[in-house]
Amino acid sequence: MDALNYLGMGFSTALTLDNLVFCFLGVLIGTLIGVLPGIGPVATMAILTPFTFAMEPTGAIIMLCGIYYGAQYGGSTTSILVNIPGEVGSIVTCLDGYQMARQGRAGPALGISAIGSFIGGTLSVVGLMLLTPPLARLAINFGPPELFSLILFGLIMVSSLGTGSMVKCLIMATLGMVASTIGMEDVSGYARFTMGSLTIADGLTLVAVVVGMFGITEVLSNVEAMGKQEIYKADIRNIFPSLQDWIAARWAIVRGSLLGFFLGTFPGGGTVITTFLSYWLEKRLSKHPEKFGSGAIEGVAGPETANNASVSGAMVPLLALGLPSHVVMAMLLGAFIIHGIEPGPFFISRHPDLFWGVIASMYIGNVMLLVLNLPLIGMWVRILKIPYPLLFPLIILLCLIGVYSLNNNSWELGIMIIFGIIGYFLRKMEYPPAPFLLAMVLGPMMETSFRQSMLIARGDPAIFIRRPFSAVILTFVVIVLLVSAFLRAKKPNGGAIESDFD
Amino acid sequence: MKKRDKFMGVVWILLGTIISIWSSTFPFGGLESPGPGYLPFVLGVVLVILGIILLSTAMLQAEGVSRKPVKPLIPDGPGLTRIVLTLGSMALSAAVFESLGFVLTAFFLILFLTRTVRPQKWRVAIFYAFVTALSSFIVFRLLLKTSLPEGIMGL
Repeated sequence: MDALNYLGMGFSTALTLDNLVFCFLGVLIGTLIGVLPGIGPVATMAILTPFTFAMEPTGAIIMLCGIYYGAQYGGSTTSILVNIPGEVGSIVTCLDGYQMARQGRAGPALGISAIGSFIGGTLSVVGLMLLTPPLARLAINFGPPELFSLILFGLIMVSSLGTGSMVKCLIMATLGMVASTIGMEDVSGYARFTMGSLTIADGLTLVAVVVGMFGITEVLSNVEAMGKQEIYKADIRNIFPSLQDWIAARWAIVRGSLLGFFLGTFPGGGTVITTFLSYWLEKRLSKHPEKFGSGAIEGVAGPETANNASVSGAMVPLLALGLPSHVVMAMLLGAFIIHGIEPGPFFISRHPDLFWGVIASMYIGNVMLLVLNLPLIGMWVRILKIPYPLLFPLIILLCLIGVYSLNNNSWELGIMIIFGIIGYFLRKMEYPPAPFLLAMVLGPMMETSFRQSMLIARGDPAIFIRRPFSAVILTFVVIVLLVSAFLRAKKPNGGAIESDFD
Repeated sequence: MKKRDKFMGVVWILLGTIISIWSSTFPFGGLESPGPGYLPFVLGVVLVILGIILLSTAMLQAEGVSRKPVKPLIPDGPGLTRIVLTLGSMALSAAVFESLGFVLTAFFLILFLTRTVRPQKWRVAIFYAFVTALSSFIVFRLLLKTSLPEGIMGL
């Protein structure tokens, strides 16, 4: 009953005109960047964060969240119509979605994606609403040693579940941590690695680094490969799936919702792993596994539901513990901090209006997305026809304006460009940027919790195994490391799930 | 990829060493109260260890097991030109952003990129650059009231 009262309060926050507009803007921009392959939610959220300064924190967070779940809706459109995933969470949708489109069934594929996304998105918000408060109450008992172990666990999970080589992921996480130590140190104010520069005296700006490594890197890679854009010409008819489609897809949607939400709550369980696992599961459980890859609607419905469900799942640890489970959540945490709000065990009790307002806005946003993506699908298809040579200068301009407006400092633009170049080369050598960013956000928290633990224990590192919860988490860390080392030794291609789908 | 992994292994070992040596010049503290040098020093050591693992794995790996074709680090002719044009115009825009102002920078950046990277007709490029500069003025200056440099034109 309590939750319902709070939810009512949340709706009264989310239904104010301002917040409705921000929610709509968020899901609209989200769908747009989901449809456009050249730019993803992380870079977009980074570019837009500076513009939210003047806004109320609730409106800002509502909009930024909308961008993320909106992108999951939009991402399927390009996967289905032109076989290019608009978002990483829509990579598997290409397998059967594009085949359906080639057989003239683009309509039902798009329809079931939007409906599945809606069901998965809405059900998982219920999960988020029910699971976060008790988890936060549990987490109040966590001290610095538990926090340190949890952060370590998160980083190891992200590195072992990521794409490609685990060593490379760990290297990126280490480098991200090093990057987080640049600038004035919290306790003593000692300037580390600044070489006298004032721009980085306060540390590397997260927004500049993120826009560089995600936005500029993406642009450079696309500009290099330019000229391969396929333009979709056919019309889309019969958006609504037939009864037969419904029957085929109904359990895929239910399973996708559950799988997406629960995997989303785990560190590293971003939309990529979730959608690949959902596809794999549907194929395993299907009576006609041979149809997968040649236009099976379950292969679209499952993953498209799962990626939306995982969004709310991922918000559970962020809001209850203050720990982002993957890179987009890290960016969202950055936005929270910029607005002076610290997610964590006390977040819900200190900012109930924000927590419940955001939850209510997610229900509303999902309804808006359903309208945006079903009757208005034709509009997004037309946007797909914008040629990339006209699109990328605009993306670059937005990157420049977004990063500059953060501190009104044009040296930040230099940092953005440098990280864009670094990201471009590292991507070619298959070093993923996500662990870097996550470590950069978590670095200061990890350092503080380590120092506090050492103070409490008077310099005895055994505190991390003497505290039971911390010991359990550290045991998991060791198990994850051993298991993934073993799996990768058996499978020389790196053992990542994606390798099965190449 | 093997050759690159060997090379990068060495790079990480060197970088880790530099980080550790550099951070050993910061106040270090003891285990009881770790100073600002503690974490970076440990991270440098971790980086060295990871570099050694990468290097030794690449050296132990049998020749020719790579499944995927390796993309060249520096792209071929036209790709390279496009990258250099894009990066160059970005760097130049960053340099003149404050003196020229954001509206003019936007106009010239868009004009340059649409004319050079994948050349459009002059008409299209000028129109597109003008519309973009005008709409960014409306959105960022008038609607969002973002503080962006006005530059020589005072826009």
